[in-house]
Amino acid sequence: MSDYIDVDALWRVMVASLIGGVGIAALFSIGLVGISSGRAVARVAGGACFVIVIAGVLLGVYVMLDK
Amino acid sequence: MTGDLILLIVVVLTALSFDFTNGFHDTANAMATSIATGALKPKIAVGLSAILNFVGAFLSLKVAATIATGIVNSGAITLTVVFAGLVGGLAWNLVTWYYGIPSSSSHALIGGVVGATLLASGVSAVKGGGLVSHVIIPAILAPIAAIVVATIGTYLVYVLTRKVNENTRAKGFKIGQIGSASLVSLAHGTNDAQKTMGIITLALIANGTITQSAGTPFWVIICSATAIAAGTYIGGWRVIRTLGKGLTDIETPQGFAAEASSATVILTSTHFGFPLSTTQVCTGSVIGAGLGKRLAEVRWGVAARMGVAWLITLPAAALVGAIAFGVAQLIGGTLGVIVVFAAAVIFAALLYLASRKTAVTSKNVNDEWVGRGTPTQIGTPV
Repeated sequence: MSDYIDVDALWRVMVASLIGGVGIAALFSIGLVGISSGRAVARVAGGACFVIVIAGVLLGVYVMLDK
Repeated sequence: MTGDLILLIVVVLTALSFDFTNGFHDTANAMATSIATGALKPKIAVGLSAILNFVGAFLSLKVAATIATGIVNSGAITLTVVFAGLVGGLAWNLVTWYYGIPSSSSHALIGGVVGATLLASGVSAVKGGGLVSHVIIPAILAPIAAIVVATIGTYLVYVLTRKVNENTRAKGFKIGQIGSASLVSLAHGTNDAQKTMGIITLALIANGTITQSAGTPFWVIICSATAIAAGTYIGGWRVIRTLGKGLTDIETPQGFAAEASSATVILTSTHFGFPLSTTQVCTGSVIGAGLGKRLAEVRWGVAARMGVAWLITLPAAALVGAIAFGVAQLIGGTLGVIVVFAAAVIFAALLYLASRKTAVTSKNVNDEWVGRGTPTQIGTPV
């Protein structure tokens, strides 16, 4: 099987996809919870989550440029 | 005008036509969920996707003048084989569009080239191991990876935002969905437009028009970017409808989770050198978005129809590629290629005319999904 498949690349793709895909969805959700909250601290934390999501998008653009 | 030059022009036109069909076939990958949830109006969605595909084509210009690398012997690749392979890919793209089935344009092109190569140079010119590792295994893994990521992502999105006001949640995820869908469009432009650039560059080198070290001419980049963007703007509404309405009924949180999953899986696979089909990843993500939401329904009949189409992509495109090569060889010379090209144009025109009888457009793309599996069974009259 390993003759036909790059197992090393595969598991990296799976782990990075899980962390990235699930992480971005979770962070964006927490960001929404934060900014819709009345408390200032929660709003700041929510904003921080969105900043991390934007950083993830920029990382994606970098991957495209670096290809 | 010499016969070689005419052959070159026909190959370039066929490559750009393939690029065009690649664009309208794959609009759904990025924009189907945004259109289905109403995050973007249909025409705005395809317009945005077209612009991002155009821009994406210029983002990375490391164009490789190769086709089906690692799958067929490079020595077996002639201009006629490339042409016949393109006709095979083109025909499969058009047939799957007609039936509204998301299908990998890259796998169709590979199938076409494999079929033409088998007839031109025999079985020994095709690397079976390359087919397994470049097409068959990724075709199995792509939807699985996307389903896992999108299912967990969708589940978390709903759990985490369960106490958020419904309007705030819908508005927030609409914005997120537009961002993540845009990223998928951009990634599509960087990947797929460059395949056409590579094919045209290969044809120019084979014809002696440019040297191996000359690099891709600027007009090739402009033409490839324009063809994929124009195709994207035309919008493959039949495929958009299947992906956005047919597999599952999507809400904005699901649409966001699906697009985030697609973008991440596509970009990580590109980064780690394990390229996966954009179409298969995006389809897997939509299924995952359906599985991740409690009580959501995934229409497995529609998914099974896609699975069957993916299974026969390679042999079907190979058959057409082989027939195209055989007919071109039988007639012989440039005339043979022109006859096959004319036949391909007539086939495309007939399919287009047939599609008008059960048209899916920006107006009815979001109508209720009825019937068992085809996008043309519209809930309201066309």
